[in-house]
Amino acid sequence: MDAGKEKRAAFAASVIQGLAARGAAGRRMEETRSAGINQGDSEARRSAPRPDGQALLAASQAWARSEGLEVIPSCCFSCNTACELLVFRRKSDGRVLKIEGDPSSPVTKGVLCPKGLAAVDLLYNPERLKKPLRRVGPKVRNSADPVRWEEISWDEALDEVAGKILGFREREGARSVAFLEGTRRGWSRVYSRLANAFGTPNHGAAGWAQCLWPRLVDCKVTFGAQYSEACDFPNTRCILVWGSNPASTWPILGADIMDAVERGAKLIVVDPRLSETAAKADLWLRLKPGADTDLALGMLNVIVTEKLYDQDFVRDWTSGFEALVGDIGWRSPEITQELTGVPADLVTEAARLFAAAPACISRCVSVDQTADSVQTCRALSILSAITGNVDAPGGNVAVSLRGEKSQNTHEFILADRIGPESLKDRSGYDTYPLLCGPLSPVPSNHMPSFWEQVASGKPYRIKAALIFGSNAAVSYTNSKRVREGIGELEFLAVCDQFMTETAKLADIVLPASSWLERDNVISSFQTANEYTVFQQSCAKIGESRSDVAIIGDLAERLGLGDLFWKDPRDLYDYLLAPTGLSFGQALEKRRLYAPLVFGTSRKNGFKTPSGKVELYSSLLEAEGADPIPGGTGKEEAIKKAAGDDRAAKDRTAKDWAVENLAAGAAGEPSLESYPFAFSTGARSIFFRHTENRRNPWLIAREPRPLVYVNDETAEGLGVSDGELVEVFTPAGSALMYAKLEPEVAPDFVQAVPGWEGKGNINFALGWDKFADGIGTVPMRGLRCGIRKVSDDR
Amino acid sequence: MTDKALLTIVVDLDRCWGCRTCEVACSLEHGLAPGLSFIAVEQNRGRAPIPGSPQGKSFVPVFCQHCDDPACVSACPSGALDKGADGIVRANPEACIGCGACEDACPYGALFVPPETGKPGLCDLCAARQLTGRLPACVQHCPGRALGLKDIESVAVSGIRSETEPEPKSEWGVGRTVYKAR
Repeated sequence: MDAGKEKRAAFAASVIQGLAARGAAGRRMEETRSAGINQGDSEARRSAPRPDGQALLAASQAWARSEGLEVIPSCCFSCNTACELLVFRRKSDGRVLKIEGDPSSPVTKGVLCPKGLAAVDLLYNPERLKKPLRRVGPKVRNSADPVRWEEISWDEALDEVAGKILGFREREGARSVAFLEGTRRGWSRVYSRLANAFGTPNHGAAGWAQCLWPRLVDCKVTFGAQYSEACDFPNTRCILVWGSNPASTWPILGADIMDAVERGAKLIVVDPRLSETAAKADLWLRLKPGADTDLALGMLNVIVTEKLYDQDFVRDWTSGFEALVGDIGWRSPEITQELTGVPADLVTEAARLFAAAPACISRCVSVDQTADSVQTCRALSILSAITGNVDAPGGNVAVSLRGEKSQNTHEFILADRIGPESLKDRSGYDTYPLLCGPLSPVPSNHMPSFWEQVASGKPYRIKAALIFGSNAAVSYTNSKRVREGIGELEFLAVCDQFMTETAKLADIVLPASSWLERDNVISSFQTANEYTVFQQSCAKIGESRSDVAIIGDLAERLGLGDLFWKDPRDLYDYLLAPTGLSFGQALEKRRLYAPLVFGTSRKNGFKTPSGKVELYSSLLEAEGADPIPGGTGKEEAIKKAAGDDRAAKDRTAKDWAVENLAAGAAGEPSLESYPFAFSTGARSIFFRHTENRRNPWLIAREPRPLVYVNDETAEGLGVSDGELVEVFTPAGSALMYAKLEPEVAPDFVQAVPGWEGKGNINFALGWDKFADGIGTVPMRGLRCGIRKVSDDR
Repeated sequence: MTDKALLTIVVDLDRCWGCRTCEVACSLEHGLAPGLSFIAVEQNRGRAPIPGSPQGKSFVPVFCQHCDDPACVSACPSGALDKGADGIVRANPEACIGCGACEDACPYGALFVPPETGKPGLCDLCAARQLTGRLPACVQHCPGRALGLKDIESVAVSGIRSETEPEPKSEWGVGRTVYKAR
């Protein structure tokens, strides 16, 4: 540790001591319990006081003028939150010098996280791709030799891509071509539309079954809504943050949560690690990773047993309550403790707190990544429902748009172009109806099955793939198998901003523009419950182009031009048409607003088959999935509770470590070699997925792949903070740097995913089992071993 | 308070969750090399609860405290550091001889001499921003809205939400910078 760091740490300790001596004690439950509900109109409470945003904006503009800069309002797309910001561009040469939050934004109030602040690098990073590239050699895709490229024109590149995939369609059928993508970037559904218009059933993304789709399927079957889990933080009295760390991953949500807490709302955080958000919690429930469904069902049982539920709402607006009660009656807090690791008294206390007030559940991707993803989501929605926190102030609410057309419909993506015969060719179609069929937000492939098919050629060969905006060789689990699959493709085109590990495997690389170079209409629950915001292009880098434009040009060459938009602004005009605004007019207006409306469903009914919130889901039952979340089976649970594996539980952290060390040294993998519960759930504020590792401003703050390890366990392994360890499973391993934390359970390690190279934790994730109905690859509740390795390895 | 007076920073530990946005904002605002900044967030752990965290894990942004009795000023052999009448410690690079005594002297690790300039670097409260009506970069961008401004008399607080606070918080500091928590 350098001297400065040591002094800062010592000073931080004296700040805490100093404040304690002045009477600060950290928040205690008694205080919050006695705090009264703040009165006053909700709009006032929504906006935390800041210096006048318009005045700050005017000051920024005046300063910019004096410096010869122009200020372009836009919004970020470094993650899906899309925070409004200001881009400062030099008038003389058009160079972007600076990005700041927009202090006049009612959504962000001027804040901006590191990803947005440092995004200028997206434009001028020397590694940005600026021209289309064609692979010259070597021919073997997975060769260790360096790839040689030649620059080609856009016409050449797109002609070649279109010619190749039309040729394969002609000779082998449309199914021989796959359209693959990554996280949502504002053009995703346009790409889905292209896949469906082309006629192939083979379309998918690394996320989807592991990200958002389980929640969306839950919303649809439980509430009959597209998205019904936004939180009404301004009016809530209790926030249950489930497996999410908004302080790091969704900062403007984190600020709303802090505001609510300051008003006296209780904060309960469920997380195996004492996350930044959990550090602020009244109650921290340190569950075993993957035990989410059991914990939610255990809390439900407390609420039912103690009759804390909203009896009127349950009677009038839910179906299947009796079946639910019958199913969960055995789940005492003590049994829940055995299943989840959360002490029984905390289970009870959390359930009572949640049931006592207008309360909301803030959940994110972790609930999509359990071994029973949709059921985990369902258990939480049921918790929200029976306590009457649905479609009500302070609870979870449905968000709608502000009049614009949604891209997130089967109609927009032309889903019905894939007929029943063709659907049978979609990998996973028979097994995973919730992902591959009509209940899916984007009916698509089960990707592990897809990659197995690509690698093995069975039941039929996939000849070509287009990969847009996805570092597939890194972002899918089982990276080794995915790369084997990519190696089998006869043709691969990749569209990206950088020469990623995936782009290096391509025959043609198309240079995509970054969000700073694009227009966009962003109407996302992830941005705000009440606003639609807009992005406008601020720069042009080389010959890179917006994905919407690339897709439009490609569609034209495929004979599908009339279904697409050649100029992205035409798409945005089309989406905005119902509002009466052109995209240009919308930019002037900055944002569209519509207030949250409560009580619609209680008036008009829920759009489920029964017209009610379906605690017992008829839609899931019809698809052969569990109509009620099951969690761990009763017999297994009671066996556990009886102490059959008591011996295992009583081992100390050091025992785990020593055993692990011995097994690792013996070099013979066995069950004992994998003593740690393991997840890839940790995230960083500096990155999203595989992005941003080339940005010097961000990488400097978190330069290496981290794995969180309990400090005593690490001591047993002989590992100090910051040392290199190998995280290994039967599927493979990754090299990561230990980050020691005393609050992590001794038998748990948590890895940060998204790194290229040997630190890619997806090499350690195999495809042994998938969630019923939707095919999620579980990334919670896994098992691994860890051992120290020397740095020079 | 004249309109040229600088406001100093108040940190609400109840709202700091250690995201380190302030570090990146500072680095970019001052054109420092990636990884360097005049503010750094440290963690503090203790038996729960502690100020700033009911669970015993607090985050403390550390930067120039504009000390009442600044060790850096005393240590500087060339008079390049000075505490003004407004209580704010400023560096005068012209007078600096680059000896590094200030860095050694600062008890809080809040001041350093970047190799690029060889001159002492410390939080200047984003004077250039404040004097043009803007918030310091860290204050504006802090996602938790944990950073705010106060005037030099330490009587008024602005730029940080206070309406939502159910009661006044405890305050502590060694100079013009104030930390608060409940």
